[in-house]
Amino acid sequence: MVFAGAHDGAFDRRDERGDHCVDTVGNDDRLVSKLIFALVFIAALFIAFASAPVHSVTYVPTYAVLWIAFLVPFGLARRAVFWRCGTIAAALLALALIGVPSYLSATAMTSAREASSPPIFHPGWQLLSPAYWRDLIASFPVCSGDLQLMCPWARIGWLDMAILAGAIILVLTGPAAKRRYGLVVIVLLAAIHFYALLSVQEVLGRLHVKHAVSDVGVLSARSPGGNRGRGRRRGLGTRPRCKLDLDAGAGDVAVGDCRTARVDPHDPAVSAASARARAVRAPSDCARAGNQGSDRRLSAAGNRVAARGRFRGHASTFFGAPDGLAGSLLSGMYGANGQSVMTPLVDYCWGPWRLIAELRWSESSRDRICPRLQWRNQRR
Amino acid sequence: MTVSPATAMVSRPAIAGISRAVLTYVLPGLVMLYVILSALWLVPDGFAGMYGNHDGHWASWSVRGILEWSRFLDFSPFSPLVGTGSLFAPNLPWLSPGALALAMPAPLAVRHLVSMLIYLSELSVSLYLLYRHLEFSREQSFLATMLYLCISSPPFGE
Repeated sequence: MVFAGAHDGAFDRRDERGDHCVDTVGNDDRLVSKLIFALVFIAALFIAFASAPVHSVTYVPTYAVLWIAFLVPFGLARRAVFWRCGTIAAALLALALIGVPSYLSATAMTSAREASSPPIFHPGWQLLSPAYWRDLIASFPVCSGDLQLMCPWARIGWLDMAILAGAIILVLTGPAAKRRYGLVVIVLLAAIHFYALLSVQEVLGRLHVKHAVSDVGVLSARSPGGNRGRGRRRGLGTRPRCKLDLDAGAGDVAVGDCRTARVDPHDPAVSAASARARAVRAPSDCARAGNQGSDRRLSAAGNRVAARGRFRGHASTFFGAPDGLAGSLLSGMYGANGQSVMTPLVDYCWGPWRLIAELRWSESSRDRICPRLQWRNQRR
Repeated sequence: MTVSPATAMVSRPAIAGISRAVLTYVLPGLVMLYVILSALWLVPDGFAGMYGNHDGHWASWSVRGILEWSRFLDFSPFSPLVGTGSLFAPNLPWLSPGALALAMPAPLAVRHLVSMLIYLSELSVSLYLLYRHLEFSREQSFLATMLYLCISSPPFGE
């Protein structure tokens, strides 16, 4: 049973079958419960986005679709649907305001793809051609061990088929809630297969963000992507890693030094020590590495990262960037001329949550609370 | 000492209910937990082991790196690794109990095990509540949750 809209100051409740009953709960209680639900919903959404075990893109869309499907019971009163849709809209608006679209864009930009990684809808008009889709489907590796699709020769394929059959049965025979659940499962299965189909030729270009974050990294070229990532990067081999200098003030990352050495990805201490040693060496030219096979993707044409060039930050540095929402708000509060005490904090400690906690810290303690600034000073 | 008929009538349903609960939920749940826990501990670094294979290694390393190099709720952790182009994923392990378990002062294998069990618990509770919302009975929901764990967890899922 789910809560519906108000009716004459009482709590109007109606279940999925249309049964109707009235509780004598006041308006205040109703408002409080709605507010609590909205807050919990937004908090859960943010936590799922910010704390996904591997990457938010992997998990959040699936659960978000499921959540929305159950959050909007279309059989209920109009007002109930309205406020629930309002909650979803408010949550999406909040995510947009704190920069999630730019976060995804930055993640896609730093995604490790070939230099010839196609832009979105790179086939252009061919997408309107049935022959293109026919060829794409003909080359669709349904039974690839990495994709886990409905392959008749794999156990996971049989599981998918059983799930599809169960979902169809639910849609055809179940009550409203189960019907909706079955529909969501079918849609998700179809979406997974369609995404895999588009991945055959990377039709969506940089929007194929699987393992995007780990690719421009100190990890081995082969290890972070896993089997699926390896399959996509077949033939890339060992790649040099580039030194990306973080300019905290500008929110940019400058490409400096490229290496081909590997660092053990499983030991942070070893990695850190190795990184420190590497960071002080004389920089080489990233453009030279750009000609060394796989790292051509770091060229300007590939990922908007050029030798000695700059690009607009990484996903992890976007939230609260100086020109982001939090930075703009705080700059406005403390003066736009950049001379206020808070501006350096906005510049160097641009995590919005840390900013809130550190508003009362003095400028002298900045070095202690901002490792970025310390590192930048050491560089100078 | 003799038991009055009234007491016997009261206690029989209670005992039957407890026995039913034990046989339906507790015993199968404990057996399942033991098998999965043993499998997690014994399965080598395979694809479905504890933080197994490539993705798992990266996920564990990333979370531990963030916990080591950043502060509470820091969304843009900074470390010398940045100088080599190794950028932490924008992840807040403090909000995820499964990831937070990797900060325990214990051997890495124990941390991995606790973390996996937390994720397993979260998954089980979520599934059970979902099935209950779909108006399945308690027994059906519990059975469906167990089946899902069988499919997704080692040793069955391996």
